[in-house]
Amino acid sequence: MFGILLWAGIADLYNYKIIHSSPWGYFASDSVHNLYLNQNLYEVGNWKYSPSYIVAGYQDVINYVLPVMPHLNVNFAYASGLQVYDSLILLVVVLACLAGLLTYLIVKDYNIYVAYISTSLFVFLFIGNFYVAITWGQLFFVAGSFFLLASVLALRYLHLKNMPLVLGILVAAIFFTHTSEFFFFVGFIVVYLVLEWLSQKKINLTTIKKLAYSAIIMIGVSSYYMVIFKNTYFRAFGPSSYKLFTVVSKAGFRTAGLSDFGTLVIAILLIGMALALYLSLRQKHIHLAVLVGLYMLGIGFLNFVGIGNRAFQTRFFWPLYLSIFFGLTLYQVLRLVAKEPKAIFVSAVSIVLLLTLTYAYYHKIGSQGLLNQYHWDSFQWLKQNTERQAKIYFFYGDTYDQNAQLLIPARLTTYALEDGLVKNVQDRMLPRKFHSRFMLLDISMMYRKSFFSFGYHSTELNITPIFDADVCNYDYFVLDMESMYAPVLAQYNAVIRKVMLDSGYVQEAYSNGLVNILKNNNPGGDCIPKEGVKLS
Amino acid sequence: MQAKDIKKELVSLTILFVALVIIGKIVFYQEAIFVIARFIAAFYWLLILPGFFLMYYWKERLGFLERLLLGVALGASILGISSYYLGLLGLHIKYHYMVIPSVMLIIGLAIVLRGGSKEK
Repeated sequence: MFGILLWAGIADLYNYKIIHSSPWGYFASDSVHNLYLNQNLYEVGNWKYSPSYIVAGYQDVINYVLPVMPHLNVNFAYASGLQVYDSLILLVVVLACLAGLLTYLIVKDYNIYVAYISTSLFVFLFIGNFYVAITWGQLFFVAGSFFLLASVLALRYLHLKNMPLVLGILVAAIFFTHTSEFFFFVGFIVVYLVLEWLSQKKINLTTIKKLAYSAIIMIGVSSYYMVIFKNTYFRAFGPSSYKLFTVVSKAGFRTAGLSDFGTLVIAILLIGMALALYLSLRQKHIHLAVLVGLYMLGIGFLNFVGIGNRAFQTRFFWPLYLSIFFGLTLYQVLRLVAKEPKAIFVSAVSIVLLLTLTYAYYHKIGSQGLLNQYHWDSFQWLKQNTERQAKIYFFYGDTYDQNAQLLIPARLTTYALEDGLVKNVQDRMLPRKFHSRFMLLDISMMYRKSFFSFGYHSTELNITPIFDADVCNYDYFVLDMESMYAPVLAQYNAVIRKVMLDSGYVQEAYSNGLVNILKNNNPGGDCIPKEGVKLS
Repeated sequence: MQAKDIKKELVSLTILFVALVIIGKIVFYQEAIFVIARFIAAFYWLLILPGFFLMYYWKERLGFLERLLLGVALGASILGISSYYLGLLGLHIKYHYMVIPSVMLIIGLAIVLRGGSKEK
């Protein structure tokens, strides 16, 4: 099972290799954000400050990005000798597969035969919209969900001596990896305790004591980062950013839904849910595996009460959370055929199901992703051959709207916005000022005054990321000479290049057939005439 | 009995390693086998071995697979969190993959030598 999941998750995405000369499997800006932050950690060695090139050049901005996943990956990169970009996606897919195995163990505690069959649904993790969690870079979410499932398993064994210590550490890891999963898990524990209380008609003080012990461990381990989190991420994206009791649409956020399972699987899942509820009511006890399934199904629909993206993210892991219902229905069907089915028979059925679902639904991606070899080489050239304080300006490139890749050179970066370029072409003008976006990634830019006191550069800095940039103020220009999607903008790049070279202030510094990099020897000079150039 | 048990479990871990290399070679058939083996060895060194030995404490109460997977999650938690703090304290991350698993392994081996939890 693990082998099939690993194959579905990474084989095609990595082109059946582990080592690549440029990144494979990065299909959106979110993925690439992870990549350059991981690379920065690899080089700098710690997570203390944000890279200055994403915070307008400040050197003292506290890095508030959740730290566990990058630290895991960079340790892997060092230990395995892989490039950071090769180890990142591979590690996340492995964690997703391991999350599947954890789910198997949780369901196994309910019924081992149901667990066998449940595993066949796991392959949906790497199919269609569910796969977006990996390809579009919801990597922290995947790792956070892995820790969440491990925490559920630890909760199952909480009665064992010293297990609260393990639970406390695991829950701290959720908090450090993807905080929304932490809040969901806390909610899950509350629901779990309430249901235990209702079914047993008494409060289990031993369980509460053990959970309190876990909470103390968790808070002790996380307190340093909690202070940072509260003053940065929570300040910007905490409860005040949610409009509760409103319906949030998925506009702008690609997610999955029940419909991605297909009609037949949905029917099987719904029957399984009804069966699980019926059996729970009959036994007056709801098993942890059933509760996780129903709870996470509900979390996935929280967009109807105002929790948008976090609810949508949870749906990516429905193939695991809901698998028990799939297994339960089909196990009951098997029991109609054989009243007491043998383990070997059920295993064989689950393997056949897994292969059938894989064959029916799996599609190859067949693409490297955002970063082709030419762009990667040009980014590496900029990183290795330009001054650390150099300011770089990117003109049109086919994939540059996924703008995180423009930070791979690790320099202060601005890029031309497509709407302005199109207008220039329509007006047949080459102006000196271009409608542009400055890559400022941390909107608050918090720095520390004392342990509990913080300042925010954002309040000191008068900058709007979108503005009309005088391109002659920049040190380097990056121009793509070809385009699949907008050839006219590539031709426009060629015109810009010619005008700049003709000015005498600019020289070609690097070219690789697709990407052309120009060096401005006189920043602030007239690389383009002040009045612009009227094109014939 | 104790030595026999641990030997049996180490054999299981070795068989698992070989199985993972074979699976890895099938999935990444265009890759050299030593690259795959090195990645899995790194996985063993960073997560499986430290976590497994830490979880040995519950050997009498939890099965092999339960301890293995909870151990991986526990190892990943400790590695990720302590690596973050060690970095803040000034130790470059390039040393962490040696230091942190070593400490976890020492603690885990102490647990193994003490025979784990006596709880039945």
